[in-house]
Amino acid sequence: MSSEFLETTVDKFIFRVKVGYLYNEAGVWVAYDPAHGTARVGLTDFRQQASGDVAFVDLPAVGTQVAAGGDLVNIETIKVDLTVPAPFGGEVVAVNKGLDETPELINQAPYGDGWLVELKPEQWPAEGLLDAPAYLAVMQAQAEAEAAQ
Amino acid sequence: MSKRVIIVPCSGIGKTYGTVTREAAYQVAEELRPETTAIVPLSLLVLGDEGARAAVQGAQVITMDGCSLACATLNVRQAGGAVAKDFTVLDAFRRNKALKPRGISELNEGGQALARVLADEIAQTTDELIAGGVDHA
Repeated sequence: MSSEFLETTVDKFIFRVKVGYLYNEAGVWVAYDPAHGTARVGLTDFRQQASGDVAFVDLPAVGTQVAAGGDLVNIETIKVDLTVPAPFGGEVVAVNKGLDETPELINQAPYGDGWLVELKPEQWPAEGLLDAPAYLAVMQAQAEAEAAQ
Repeated sequence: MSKRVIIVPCSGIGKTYGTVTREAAYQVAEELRPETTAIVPLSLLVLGDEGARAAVQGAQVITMDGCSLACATLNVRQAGGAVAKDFTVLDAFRRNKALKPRGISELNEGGQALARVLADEIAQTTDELIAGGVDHA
């Protein structure tokens, strides 16, 4: 296992959690950049695998203000229509335009080129985010519950 | 020896996108190009059925995959077949956003329309493959 990621196996699926990122229980990761005061946001490996191949991504406009838990990004996959909640309140300062042409980046590189948006938080640190080990435990429980269905 | 173009759809039973591929395959083989195509069930290739393996070996094969695992394409190649063209439901859906497939045993209107789009594309590809020199029955 790479030290860059924590990893767990549930049923036949392997899920990775990137060390150094923060997470919420909805499967959204946050990478804060203190130099710019912004945070890049994306879907976790578990959430993208559980949601299936991405067909379309509806990104917010730059400048949009979002509240914590509010609708941030809409993703349509072969399985579900998924609304990604904002992990904290703030302003959208950038979006991943590459997803317009290649939405599958969310599946192929969830912690990298498949990022969704960059937010300028209303306050930092944001409340309620988990570090990688804590999210791994939450995610494992979610994955086991889904596997048992 | 004359050969038909072989169509191998996804076997994702219980999956909407798998159902779209199978519906499209039936439309091509039974309605649009019955004289020049034949379906080989992916399940037989997975089980190593000799008849199914022989059918894809040496034939021009069109695969239809329901998801990125691409089981149809992978299993045709593992069986020694050459994939002339691979269609994916996801790509077809991206080109036709209004045709959102739903349902499993019975597709919704969007799924049926998407299957028709795929079927028409496969029929066209079949014609091109045959025009390219493949004999057919």
